[in-house]
Amino acid sequence: MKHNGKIHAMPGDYMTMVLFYNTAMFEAAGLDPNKPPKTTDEFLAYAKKLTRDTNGDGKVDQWGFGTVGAKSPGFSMRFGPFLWSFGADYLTPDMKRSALDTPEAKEAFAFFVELYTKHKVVPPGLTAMNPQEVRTQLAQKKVAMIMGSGWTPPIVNKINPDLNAFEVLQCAPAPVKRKQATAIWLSSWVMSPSTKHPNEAWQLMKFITSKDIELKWFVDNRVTSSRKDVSGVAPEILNDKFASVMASQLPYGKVEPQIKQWPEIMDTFTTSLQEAIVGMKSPEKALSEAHERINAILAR
Amino acid sequence: MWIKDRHMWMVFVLPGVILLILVLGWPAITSILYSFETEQAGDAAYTLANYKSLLKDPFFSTTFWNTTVFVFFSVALHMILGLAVAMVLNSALPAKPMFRVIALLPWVVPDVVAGIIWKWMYDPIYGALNDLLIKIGLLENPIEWLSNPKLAMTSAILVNLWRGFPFVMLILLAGLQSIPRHLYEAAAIDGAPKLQQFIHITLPGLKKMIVVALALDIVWEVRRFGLIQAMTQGGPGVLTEVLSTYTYKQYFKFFRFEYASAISVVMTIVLLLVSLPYIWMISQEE
Repeated sequence: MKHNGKIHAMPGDYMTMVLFYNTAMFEAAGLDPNKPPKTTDEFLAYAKKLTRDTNGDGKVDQWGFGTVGAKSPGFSMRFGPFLWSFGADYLTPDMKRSALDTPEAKEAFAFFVELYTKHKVVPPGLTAMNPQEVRTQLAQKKVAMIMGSGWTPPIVNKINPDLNAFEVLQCAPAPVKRKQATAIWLSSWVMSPSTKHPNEAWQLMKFITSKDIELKWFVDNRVTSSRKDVSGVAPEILNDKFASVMASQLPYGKVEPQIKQWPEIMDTFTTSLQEAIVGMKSPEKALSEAHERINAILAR
Repeated sequence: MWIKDRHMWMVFVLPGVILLILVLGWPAITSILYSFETEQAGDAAYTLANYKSLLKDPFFSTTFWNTTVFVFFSVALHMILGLAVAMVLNSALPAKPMFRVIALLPWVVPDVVAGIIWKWMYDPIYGALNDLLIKIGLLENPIEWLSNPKLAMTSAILVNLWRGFPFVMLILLAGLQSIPRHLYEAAAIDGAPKLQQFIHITLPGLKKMIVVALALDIVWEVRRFGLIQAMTQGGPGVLTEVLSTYTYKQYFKFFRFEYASAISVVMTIVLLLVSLPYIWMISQEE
């Protein structure tokens, strides 16, 4: 990875966020597991069908969509695809101001909040849910769809081997409102400029990012390599039902702003989102507060 | 020997003093200096900018108020439950050691672990607490203990009550055991009812222990971090954000070292003020 002509880091693995769903729960709800929701409207309709009472006691015990609502770094990875697909963004392109005052942003924010408040297709307790708790909901068949990536099937499989995650789960591109979009996760290898052992460090980085090891990472942990001569040619990756969908989404992927204020901006955003989710504020009011506060952070 | 015997104490005290300076003195002074710096100017100029922003920060005032509520109710409930359990354990109870160990157990659990356990118990889908309340017929539908804006802080305080009362109980139990039995016997002979005995013998006998427990508990509950961080991370919104989680966020997540230092300096000043009675009492004894 280069910046101003200088090499700063070696790419490691990449991940794109996609929609994971439980095919057995799709069938039980009368949905075709080979036709995952393509648009956000379809997604909402599917989520409504998947939110139901399975044991006949009159109470909903299965929900359509599980997602992160806690102030966790995992939140933005799962919310970003929706926001971007609606045609909105967190910040202006120069990253100097908040862009959350657009009609598209308002629409995306309200859509996400109403999944919980109005349509009730997300299980209760959303504001306390971290990524691992959401994966547990998928593993325990409490939800039928979640946003996830390469790490999702192995972790879900570990939580509940009885689910048979590698068989029963399937994935599809994130649902689309106006344009295909998703969040990208990139990891990279960086060497400290003050290291006493640059040669050894370089040997290690070369080894870790070598073809064989990058492929082994995929086979062992489902981590997809950034190397084209691995992810683009290895049959293990090309024929994998999850990795192939994730690779297809790379052209639509976006990386979150790499600025120092980002954690604070995201925390501010999540705080406002939570206030809308629990009904303390209307979505419009919560979002406009987030907009003002983010502008104040960036103006500091 | 080149050190005279009467100076030998210095050698023994020295490691402790050095350690204290390193782990307490140095970080404290650095934090205070940091709190007067700004990110832009560094230590080139010392200003009150951070403290001015604190006064204008709506999250800080909310957080301060939340902390007050959290600490007040935690400590008050610790005192009530701690004293009640201590009196039970001080009475003629069969298998006393066993009950003492049981009463101490919540205190042995680190607060992060307590937070994680209770987060699971509070879970609206799998949580044991909702399940129990529904089974015994007290609830119709599960409650969102940590997500309901009206309940979140109460739920956090309840966990903290469970986690923290054994410490108060332990101190007050020691106090109760030091009250001479014959005072109660004499009062009983004079026909004083139990309530009178409690007001005129037990409470005065416990006065010092109560001050100790109050001071230590207030200081600890203001600093309480892992419990809330593990359960709500300050949410929903900022309803359970307390000074400790707010400082942590500013420092470790937002990298605003100077601002976080200012918050912790304010926190320290408040804590010093509330622990003055305790410090005064200790200095009286010498």
